[in-house]
Amino acid sequence: MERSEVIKGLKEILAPYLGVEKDKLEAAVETTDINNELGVKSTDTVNIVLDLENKWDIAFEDEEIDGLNEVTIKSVTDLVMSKKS
Amino acid sequence: MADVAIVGMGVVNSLGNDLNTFSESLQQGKIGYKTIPLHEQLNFRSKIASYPDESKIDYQSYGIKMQDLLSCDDVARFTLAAASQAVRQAGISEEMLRSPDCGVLIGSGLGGGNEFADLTFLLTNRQPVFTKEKKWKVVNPRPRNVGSHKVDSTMASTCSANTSVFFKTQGMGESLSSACSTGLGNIGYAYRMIKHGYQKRVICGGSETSCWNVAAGFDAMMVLSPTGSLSLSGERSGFVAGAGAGIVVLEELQSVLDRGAKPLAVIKGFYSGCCGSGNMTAPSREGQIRCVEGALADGHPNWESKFGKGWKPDIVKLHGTATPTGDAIEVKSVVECFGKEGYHLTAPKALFGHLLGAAGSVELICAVDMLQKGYVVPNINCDPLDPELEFVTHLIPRKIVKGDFKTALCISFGFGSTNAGMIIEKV
Repeated sequence: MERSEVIKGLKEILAPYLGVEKDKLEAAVETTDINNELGVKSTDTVNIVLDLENKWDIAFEDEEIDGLNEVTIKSVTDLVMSKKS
Repeated sequence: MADVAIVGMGVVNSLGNDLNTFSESLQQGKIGYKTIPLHEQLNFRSKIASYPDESKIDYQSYGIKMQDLLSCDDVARFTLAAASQAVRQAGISEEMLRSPDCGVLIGSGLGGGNEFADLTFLLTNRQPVFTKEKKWKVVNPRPRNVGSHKVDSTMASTCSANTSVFFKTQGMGESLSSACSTGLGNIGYAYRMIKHGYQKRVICGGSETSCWNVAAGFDAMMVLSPTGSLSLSGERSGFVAGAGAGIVVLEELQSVLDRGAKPLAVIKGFYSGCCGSGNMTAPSREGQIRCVEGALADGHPNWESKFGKGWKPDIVKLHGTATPTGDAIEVKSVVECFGKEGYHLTAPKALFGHLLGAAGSVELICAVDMLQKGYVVPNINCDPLDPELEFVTHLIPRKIVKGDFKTALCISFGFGSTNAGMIIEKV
């Protein structure tokens, strides 16, 4: 699976959780912080994880979610890619 | 002690998702309940209910974002829409809202019913899920499956919590629940908080979910009507389950006047108490009379020392659920207090059913609207009148009555033998 495809899918998933205008999501790059820059509340992490699992038919361990020290487009994309490789 | 005014109102229910539509429907005697397909599919005895048409609520027009709704079941969504209307009408500024002087006190009968039922199924069943990719997948139960928002969308304080978070209020944020007197009870406690100086203004009221699991319990008890909401009729056969929200903004009267706003009505008294009969559901004459007299006397040794001998309100807004055991005893209790002449009785549940935790607040808003616009909600479908009520048939208008009405008494009762009463006066 292409990395750009995962990023595109991740952005689609993030859309309902945004605390900022949608154009900021469209302009987001790999270093964009999902919580601090896109205004996604940390309490929505579990919903986003469930959406990721459903979209790509993968399953995350609790430790993998806890291990996300900084939640960026890059760190989440890396995690999804590691499950699909 | 401070005088307390109602300064803003908002509604969501089957007769309208804004005050104007609701008021027009009341004056026209429209019926809001209808057949609910899900009730048919679930083989309910009563297949009718009174639920708001949520597809017609434009949340964006209230500044409510998708993110704000993530922590809401319908009960809190209805609340936010109604609260936004009330805050707008009250004309209170962001600075007033974001202050320790502004509280939130909004309750519901159940809380987030849909989300709670969903949580239970997600945790207990290995189930097929139809994914966004249009494929079926079997999901094993695990706590994570319930998602991020099963706490804030189901908890007993979900209505007040979502409201205080949305408006960024800093005062009290609580939810009281007293079954079907919840809506009026929360407004009554907010009134007391302002009257005694703890808050300057409070966003308050009641809301109820449209989830099938609420109606299911009542349907099992056979207290829901299969035919209609026939309040005061001799053919009444139970109540019609409903959902929605009624939210008001209460404020210190002096504060309202100082900022040049217009109070809609002033609260002259409130009572809450229980029948003490030891019965969960049956009405009690003694408890009801204590409620009526207590609401009027509030703060005085008795109501005649406050209002004068022989005083009576222009309108009595009845609880009037249309259960066979309820309506006649309620009317007789009122007549015992006020006599057989000189006021109007109205039971608006005949139009929009029983909104349970939202009933008391939506019906208080109905009463304020009657005083503001000078009408009495017609008692549609009350004929043939209960023979026990023929002696006061002249107090029960079948068609809209117009006039200059200054005061209204609202009464609400609930399971647990809870009784609430509030007397309001047009300013």
